[in-house]
Amino acid sequence: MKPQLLALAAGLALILAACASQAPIRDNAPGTAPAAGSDEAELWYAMERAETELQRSPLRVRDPALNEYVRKIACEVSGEHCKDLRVYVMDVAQFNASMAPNGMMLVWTGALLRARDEAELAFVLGHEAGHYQALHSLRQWRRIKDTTAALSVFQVLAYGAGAPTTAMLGSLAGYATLFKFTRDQEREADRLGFQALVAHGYDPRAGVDLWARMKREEDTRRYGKPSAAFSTHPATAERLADIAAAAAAVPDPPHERRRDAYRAATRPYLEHWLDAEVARREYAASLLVIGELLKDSPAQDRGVLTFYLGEAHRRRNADGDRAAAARLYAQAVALPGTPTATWREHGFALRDAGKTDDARTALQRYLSEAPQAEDRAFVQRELDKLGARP
Amino acid sequence: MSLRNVFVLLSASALAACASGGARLVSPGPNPAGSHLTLNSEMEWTRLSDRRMQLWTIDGELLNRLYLIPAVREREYIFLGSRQTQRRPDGPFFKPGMRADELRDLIVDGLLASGAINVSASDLRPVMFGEHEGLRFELTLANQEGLKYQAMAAAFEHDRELALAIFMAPSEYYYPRDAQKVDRMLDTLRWK
Amino acid sequence: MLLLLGAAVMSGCVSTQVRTAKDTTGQPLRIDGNVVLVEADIELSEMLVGGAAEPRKEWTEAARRLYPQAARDALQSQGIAMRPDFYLPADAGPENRLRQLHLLNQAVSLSILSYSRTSGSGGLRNKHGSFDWTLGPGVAELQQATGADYALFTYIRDSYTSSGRAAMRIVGFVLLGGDIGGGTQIGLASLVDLRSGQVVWHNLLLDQTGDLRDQAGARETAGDLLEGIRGAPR
Repeated sequence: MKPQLLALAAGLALILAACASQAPIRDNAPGTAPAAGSDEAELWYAMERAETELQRSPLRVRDPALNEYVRKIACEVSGEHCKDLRVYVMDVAQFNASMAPNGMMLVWTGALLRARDEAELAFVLGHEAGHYQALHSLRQWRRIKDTTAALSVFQVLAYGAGAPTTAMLGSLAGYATLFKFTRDQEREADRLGFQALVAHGYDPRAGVDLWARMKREEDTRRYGKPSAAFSTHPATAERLADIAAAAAAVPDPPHERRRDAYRAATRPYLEHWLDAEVARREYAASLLVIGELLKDSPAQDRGVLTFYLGEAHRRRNADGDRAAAARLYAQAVALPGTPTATWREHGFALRDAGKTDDARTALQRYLSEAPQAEDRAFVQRELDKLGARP
Repeated sequence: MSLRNVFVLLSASALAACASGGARLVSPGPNPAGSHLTLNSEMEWTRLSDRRMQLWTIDGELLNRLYLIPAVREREYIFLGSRQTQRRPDGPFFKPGMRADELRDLIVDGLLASGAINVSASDLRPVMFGEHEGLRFELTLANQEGLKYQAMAAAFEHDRELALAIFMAPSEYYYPRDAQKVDRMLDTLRWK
Repeated sequence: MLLLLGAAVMSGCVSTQVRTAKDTTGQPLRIDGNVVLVEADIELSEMLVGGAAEPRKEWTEAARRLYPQAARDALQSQGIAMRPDFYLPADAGPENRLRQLHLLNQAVSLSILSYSRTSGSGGLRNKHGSFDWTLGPGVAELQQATGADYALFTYIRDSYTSSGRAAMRIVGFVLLGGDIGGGTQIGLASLVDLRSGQVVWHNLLLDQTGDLRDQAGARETAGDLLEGIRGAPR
């Protein structure tokens, strides 16, 4: 397109587009809905459509107990906005939580794996509720509408809604950088989030602990685009400093963490989430995440965490990983709560080390403890290859 | 179902047909599956192929697809298309000498990376393909919208490369219809 | 000049790809029984100046009211009766079999779209030119849930120009000599025999001038989309 025509077309476009967003931003009093026909109503509607898809999504976690637990915390930190709230837990092995302008809150199970206690989860959800309360999404959305041509609301929504394939995350990273909240908006959401946290007796240091941990994880990433959470919430030292300052500014802070309650609510899912985490094949991150979980872990979870730490090493298979994995399996078999698969991996590690008798014992132990194992035929064959006991 | 999906599919199928110079009919009996790979077919299919792999289908790839990849090379992505690099060392890349359960994990993770949801493998078992020792297993998975699929996989190593076959179809009607036949077909995979 | 522009903006083509299964004598199958409209998936958007399509709630709700009635009338004129429209629960997840059937129909419909050419390259060789697609006998569950003999699945997406976009379109035509397009209606519909699972009829509609926001437009769209469905002679 010739430059003059481009300028003319662009000029027209700006004049026409500017009309759309002169509407005043309404005061987001709880329980209210935007006026029909306003551009906010259309965004609201697009969110409704996304929510319908979410409700039917194969990624949706439907367990009533877990949903109720997360919902209860979300409700606490959204205060009077609790009645606007619908919480969806999505089975995605990355850290993320978001809240749409219509009250739909998404929490990915990767976030539930990484949070250590109720206070940390409350911080994340309170922060998202803060964005919602201050209508940041709407402001950002209007800014996008005015300045870019190719964005479709649905594409932007898909980013938060779940079903995130690597391909989709890649293409949406471009949109996500546009959708990023400003540093002021982040501070405002933090302030609102911390208010909510403290009002319920949670320790505001929880936010700093969580975010520092997330920054450590993000720093392990040597390639690829920023992870989902960090596209919209930059993992900079700046951000961490902002959060630490906001936490320190709380006078006479309370100290509740409710770690035991959190662990009890999430324990039934721990193995599944660890399995999904390792399947991501981002081993540097997994080793950090699982390693740190192991350090803080209660006794009853040490077995499963040690096993999966071993798995992350084994599957990465870089120099020294096989040896590290072998040591971890040997530890795990003696720990409470270790999965039966540990015996299988322990057996293979012993075999690789030439300890044939011990390997045989371990593999036999696996088969006797897991008679319905889905890889039974394969393990039996490997056992046969080791030969009979002399 | 999104508008974008419709457009993407329309253009993709057109491209697929163009790229391969058109589709070919597969007749029952012994059939080449690329390079030295062969298998016996029990029914008719339509075959689309490129340099490195074949895709057989009966009703369209959303309803049934049999991937045949004769040779995944060392350090290649399990479904071809990219290689392991310094920058990206950790994806589902093939290495010779992998254990059967490691190969199974490669395939599961490869499916996850390409957008499949709730992928779960079962009944991993050693199988001989002629003189090559290999493996077979089954899978369940879903697409992004929740349509459930079932799949069966067969693989064996030859000369430090991997031959791989995967059949996938919706659990509702399409997989049960053809599973027994395809199961027998996979047993006839050979590297000549 | 204005007339020319007006004509340019109004022109557009309507194209359909009707496919029908044949009976043993090679004649298109006739519909002998009643039909249920399953949860029509309709969305109307506004095409913004930059080309992004933004869903419009009022238009979509109007279309979702008007289309089922227009479809009912169109089939009635062919002597085909309809059962009450059928909707799945809002949170019907993958464990719901009717949801699986609905998703399977999408997959079958997209396959028909890609591969049901009767000649030339692009068809499936093993079909040997016949229109042969099915959802399988599992549809019996849908038959039980609806009491119908056939299920009509519909998917429509349409975008309409805002006045801003219409202005741009004229500018584009004048300055560039080409039509940047006002928006296209895409419709996909399939008719499935619930006694066997067979897809007896299928259509793709591409239309640049359809309008589902009012009754007349809905009748026209339903007529174009449901073209070729014939009731059995009494």
